[in-house]
Amino acid sequence: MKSQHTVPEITPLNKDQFDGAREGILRVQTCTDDGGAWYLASSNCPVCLREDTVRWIDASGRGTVWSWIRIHQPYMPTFKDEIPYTVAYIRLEEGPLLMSTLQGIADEDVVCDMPVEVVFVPYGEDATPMPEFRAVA
Amino acid sequence: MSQPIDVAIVGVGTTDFGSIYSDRDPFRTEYQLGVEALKLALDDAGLDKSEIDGLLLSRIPGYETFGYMAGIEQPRVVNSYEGSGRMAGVVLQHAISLVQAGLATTVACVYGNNGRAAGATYGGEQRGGAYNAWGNMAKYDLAYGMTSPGASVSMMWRRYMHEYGAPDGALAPIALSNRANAQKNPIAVMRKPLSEEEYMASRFVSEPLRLYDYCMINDGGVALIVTTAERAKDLKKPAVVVRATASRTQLSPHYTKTDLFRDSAVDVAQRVRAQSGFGPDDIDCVQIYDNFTPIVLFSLEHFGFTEQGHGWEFIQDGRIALDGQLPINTSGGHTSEGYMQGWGLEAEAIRQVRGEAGERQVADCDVSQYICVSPITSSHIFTRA
Ligand SMILES: [Zn+2]
Repeated sequence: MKSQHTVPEITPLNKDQFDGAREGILRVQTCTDDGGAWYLASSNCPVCLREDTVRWIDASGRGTVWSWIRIHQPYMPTFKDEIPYTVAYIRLEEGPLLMSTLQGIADEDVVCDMPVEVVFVPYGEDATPMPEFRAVA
Repeated sequence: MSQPIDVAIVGVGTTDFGSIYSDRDPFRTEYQLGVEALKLALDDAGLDKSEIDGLLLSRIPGYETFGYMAGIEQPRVVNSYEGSGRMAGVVLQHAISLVQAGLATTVACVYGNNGRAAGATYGGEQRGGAYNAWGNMAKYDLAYGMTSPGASVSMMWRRYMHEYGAPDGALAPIALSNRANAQKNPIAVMRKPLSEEEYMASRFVSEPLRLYDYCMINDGGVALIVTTAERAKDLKKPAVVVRATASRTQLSPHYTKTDLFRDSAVDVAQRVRAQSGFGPDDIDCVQIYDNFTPIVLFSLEHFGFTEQGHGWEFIQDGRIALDGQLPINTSGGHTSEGYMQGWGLEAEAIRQVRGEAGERQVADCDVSQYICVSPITSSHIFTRA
């Protein structure tokens, strides 16, 4: 039950990312000075360490599967009914990597480097929109 | 600064992992296990604890509690490192540096782990070690049930299989070799023979990794004593020197690294080779941090024991056995001796060059190496003084 899953807290730091997600847009942070891109919200740019140059930008929502696994061990009680479940490490077109899961792709059809696109699914008690990925049509 | 002081390792202590495993005691603490290992290391060296003026602990959070219990109440230097496996190499490096710099003369490095008694799982909401620091960032992964270092390594293993064509079952020789070595180690936890059929039939934990690709969860303690080469001269055991040591990190939000730790590991490999003059052909046995078996292949390749992408072929045909071309994890490693998070492997590397590994002694072992490939990659090369 995804309504039971742990989700990130929404804070002033990452609020824009989740506002975008509610509209189906995947957002990443960038620096207006040096143009890097990263997924996990940070208060500063890791290159120049400035805070005032950090912006959220809309990413394409496309990426590739770097790798993927099936977890059989019930590490978390909230996943007991989903075992075994898939976790995929996605490389976004803009560069950042994130952990996620795959949607609507049979195990035998998953291959490393396959192109995928984002789709948001409500997770946790407050229906926090979290990215999942499906095969590019 | 004056010249660095020459340093030696003079004491090694390991608790009896097998008997601790079969006699599970929920009240046995990491402090107790650390004290027991320290006592063994002091006896091994022939040192009195009044000479210990540096105390570096790992997985034992309270250094005041430990100092009180060990009766070492006024060391010149004390610190407590987190209980993650990557710290085994780091703590020994720091102990050496302290002695070289003259900040302490005799440093005891002590590790204690009661994780099994305390119900540790290395996965789930509470992971411990380096993971607690991620806070809200960790929840981005927890949402998908991604929690354990084993799962992160499994992710890299799938990618390796994809890139280099390694088949399912390619890791079996590591698990089997570890088990065969453990049968010759009286303090190992898992000493029952393991067949390839049993390996292949074992359950997936994070597919494509199986149960026997995972380190076990067990309790115990390890202690290493470092002092000056001068003081080492009239102690009980032959002094062992660290001919080279180096580390390099890869700090990012995921244990999974897309280069399979190559960047940092190649740098460490080159530096220990340059510092010691010993390359892959000179190493008589290597103790490789094997929290999960794929890390052994990454280590062998990045450290130049075999070509990139060919580690899975290198480990076949008995090449890594005790009497093979490159004996690996001679005490049984983390999958069979016990998971002392690298500390047991360091102890074994020292014992092999001392020539005191008993039934599992590698013939003519003059040079041994410890390798830990992880977010903090480290390596040491040991010889007798
Ligand atoms: Zn910047």
